[in-house]
Amino acid sequence: MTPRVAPLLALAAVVLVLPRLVFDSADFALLSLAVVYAIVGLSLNVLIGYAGTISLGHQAFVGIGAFTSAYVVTELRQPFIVGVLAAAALGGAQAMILGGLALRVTGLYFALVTLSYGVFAQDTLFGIKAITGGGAGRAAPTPTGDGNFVPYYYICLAFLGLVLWLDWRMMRSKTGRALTALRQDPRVAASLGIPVKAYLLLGFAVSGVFAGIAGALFAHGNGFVVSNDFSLQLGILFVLMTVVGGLRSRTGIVVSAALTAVVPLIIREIPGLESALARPERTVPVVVLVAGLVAVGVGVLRGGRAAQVVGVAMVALSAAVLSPLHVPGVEPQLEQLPALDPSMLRLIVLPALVVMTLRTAPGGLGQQLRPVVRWVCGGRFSLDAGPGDLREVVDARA
Amino acid sequence: MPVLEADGISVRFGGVQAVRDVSVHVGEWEVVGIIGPNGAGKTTLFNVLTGFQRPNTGRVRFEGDDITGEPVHRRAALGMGRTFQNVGLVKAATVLDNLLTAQHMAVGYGAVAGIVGSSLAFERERAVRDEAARLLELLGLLPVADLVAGRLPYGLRKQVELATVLATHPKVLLLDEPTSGMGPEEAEAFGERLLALRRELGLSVLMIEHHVPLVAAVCDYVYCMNFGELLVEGKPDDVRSHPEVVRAYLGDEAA
Amino acid sequence: MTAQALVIGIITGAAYGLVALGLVLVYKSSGVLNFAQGEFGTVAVYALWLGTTHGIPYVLAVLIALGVAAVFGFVTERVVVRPLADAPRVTVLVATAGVALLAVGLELWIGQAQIRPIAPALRRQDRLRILNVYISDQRLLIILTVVVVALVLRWVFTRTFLGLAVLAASEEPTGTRLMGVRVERLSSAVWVLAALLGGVAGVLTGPLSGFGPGFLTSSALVAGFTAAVIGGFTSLPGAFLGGVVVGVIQSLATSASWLADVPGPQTAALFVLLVVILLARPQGILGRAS
Ligand SMILES: Nc1ncnc2c1ncn2[C@@H]1O[C@H](COP(=O)(O)OP(=O)(O)OP(=O)(O)O)[C@@H](O)[C@H]1O
Ligand SMILES: [Mg+2]
Repeated sequence: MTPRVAPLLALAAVVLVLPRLVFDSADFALLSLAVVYAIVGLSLNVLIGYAGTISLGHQAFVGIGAFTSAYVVTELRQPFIVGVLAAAALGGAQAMILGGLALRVTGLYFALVTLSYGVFAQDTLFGIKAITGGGAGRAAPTPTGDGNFVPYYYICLAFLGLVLWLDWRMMRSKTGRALTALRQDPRVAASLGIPVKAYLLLGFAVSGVFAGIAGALFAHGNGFVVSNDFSLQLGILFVLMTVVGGLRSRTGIVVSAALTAVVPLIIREIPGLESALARPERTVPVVVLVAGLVAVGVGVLRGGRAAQVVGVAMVALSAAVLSPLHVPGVEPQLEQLPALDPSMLRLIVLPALVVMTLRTAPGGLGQQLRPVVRWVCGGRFSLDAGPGDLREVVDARA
Repeated sequence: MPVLEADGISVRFGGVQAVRDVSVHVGEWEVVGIIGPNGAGKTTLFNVLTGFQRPNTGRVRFEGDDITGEPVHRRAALGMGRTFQNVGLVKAATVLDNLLTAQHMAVGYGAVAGIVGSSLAFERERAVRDEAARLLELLGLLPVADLVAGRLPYGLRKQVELATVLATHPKVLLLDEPTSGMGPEEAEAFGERLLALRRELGLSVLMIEHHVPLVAAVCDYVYCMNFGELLVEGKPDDVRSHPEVVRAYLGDEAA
Repeated sequence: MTAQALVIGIITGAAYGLVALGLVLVYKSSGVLNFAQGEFGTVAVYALWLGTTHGIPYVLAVLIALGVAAVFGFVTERVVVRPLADAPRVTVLVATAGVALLAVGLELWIGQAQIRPIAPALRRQDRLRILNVYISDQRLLIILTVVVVALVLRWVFTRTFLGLAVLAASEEPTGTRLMGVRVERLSSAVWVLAALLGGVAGVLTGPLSGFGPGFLTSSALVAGFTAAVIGGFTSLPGAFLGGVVVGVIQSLATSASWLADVPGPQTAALFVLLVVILLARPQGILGRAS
């Protein structure tokens, strides 16, 4: 079966043309960030999805790319593209060093190493004044001119296309098969002649290269990089968006990462949502009401008494608050709640989604999208690289 | 010259002496069997031969070269192909993909060339696919080519595993209980297929096997292990009737 | 000089030990690395802050804060951990990281992105002075608490039915269930206990230098994990000792003149320490090889 041309053209239009029609040029900063996040997600996917190790320090991978490119462009006065290439190279190199550790330290302990590495990078590596400007940060001019994000968005898209191409080719070549084999059973892989350690390192390198590119694009989209951009929170956010997207599903990861980045835009585009967030004293009871109803429903379906009791209490309380009745003690407290910043919302929504994903659909968004993708691509080049869940991660090598 | 040869191999796991001073050798074109009750150390010996387990003492030689310190994948490259007692497959991949994976050493392009998608890589991939199809055809596995390997019935999984090992172009096959889970007739058929493969591909075989009739039918030479030591070795019929072997097996069954 | 660093290290290390105890407790009983342990504590400090700013007496506010932490732990176990009981441990790890991020989001909302001061339980700063280092009463309280908690937990795990049942359940869930123990209840109990420990850590250390969103995660989670690794991840007194080791090494790194030009010497020391330990002795210093 050949790919269906019409849907593919429609997809291209959505990505290439639609933003021009819907969004202001100022919004393209966030759209560029969406593309950057998509690349970060693909980078994490190489490690978690393909190589079967975990990284909770991916913000460091990205940050190293960001500072490298900023340094090369502002300090060494090289063009933007040289900055990106340097970021990719250094990103790959540092990832291989970490990969060297992964050869010795496996399983959950390696997760701890990456956690510590991320924090170490933020505090120590990104504090080296000569390169990163210390706490003050470093300028990273946008190649398309200050504040001119529309063309920059297309540059980012081009890099996303490159990363997708490399990822696709990798998984369709011997490297992809080697990674799959070593993830699932390193003993079988080795006995088929695959040098397991070398390919694990290669996986790290590829992931680092992708992350380095993402970091450079992040830096120049921001105009400025400071070490505080790369906190542990960001690292966790990266892992969550990748898992929600669905490991080994390129489509799911790109969509999930992009959506994570553009949460503020989505909120703005949904009528009434922004003002609802600004008035939490009305919104919170509504959310509690809905959550309570869900809890009651789940409790009834699964026979959980505790869920029913808690649900009924939530419904009753929030109904009382919403009604003209006055609930002493609760309403004045609600009045004092600060407005909910749209960008904070992703810290709340994404974890909720991740728990849902892990509990009910380990394949993530990618699994939901798979029939559509298969229909569009006609199975000729699948956009995905196999079914995704966390099952084989780390434990396989622990 | 023997193809594969092990000299005075010993392996200790903490307090357990899994293998003690065992020597085996497999000549060109030979089919050699290893028998012995459960826990005798047969699989451990295989692990030493294939490089998964470093022996405490002893040396392993392949075609005369000392390979005792070589890693597993290097031995595979030299021509050692191995199956696993619990079936070694990439379980989530399709049968076809397993065969592609197994041709890792033969693809003939570099990892980077594959990632950037060089035209050589595209070309070679096509050749690798053809070879996989040829092997599947040879072993009658073409109908299951697109099924996920881990979901096949046990017997089929073992056949697919054998196909993947053959795809690495081995000179010597090490089979760990290839007929487990098979009935006597299937085992006999397997023996015939093994002899045919040896003829066609010029293989030497070392196999751990519990089916005594099969061992008697196909093996040129047999080693019997018990409690980590070599009990008896010799022609199948001699080993089979050896009083020590009978005692080891009966003792094992009585226990 | 070194002796001084030692004193400072022990003081700060005690707080790490408190976090490590919670981590070890959960790991011992379910094999899970709990990335939400720090946030159990941060949530408690926020509750304490809300309580005291609303005029609730300090002691009562502390109790409420611990209650909030306990509820958080209970809900985490019920909604996140228990449904994933059969999932790989790394899945649960990712889920707990999600819980931590959720807590940070809520804290950011309730308290905004600000570092806030909060009153300590004990105010006196200069009662005790060792080697020119003043040790505030709050610090003494922390040290005392961590020692007591470690010993009590050790007693629970070696002498009481609850502790032995938890250990048995972690090794042989089916067998333990057959013996009439309700394994699910045990899991709840462990997580509530861990959350309480986190809450204690938060309530005690929050006042030391103020708190903000995710404060205990950023100030003590990595150190706590490192301390737990040093303790072999199963030894409760080991977790406390590990905390002290981490604290001492960090304070040595901060005061070492040859590290004066290294930014973030504490974090760097932590990373190097973790890597060296895992390379040299993967089972930890006090842990037994499994
Ligand atoms: N990695 C290991 N660590 C500790 N002991 C081991 C290990 N591998 C094997 N053993 C022990 O070594 C002995 C030999 O085991 P081995 O698997 O080689 O036996 P076997 O002959 O293959 O038995 P079977 O017929 O059951 O496959 C057994 O007592 C086993 O428990
Ligand atoms: Mg065996």
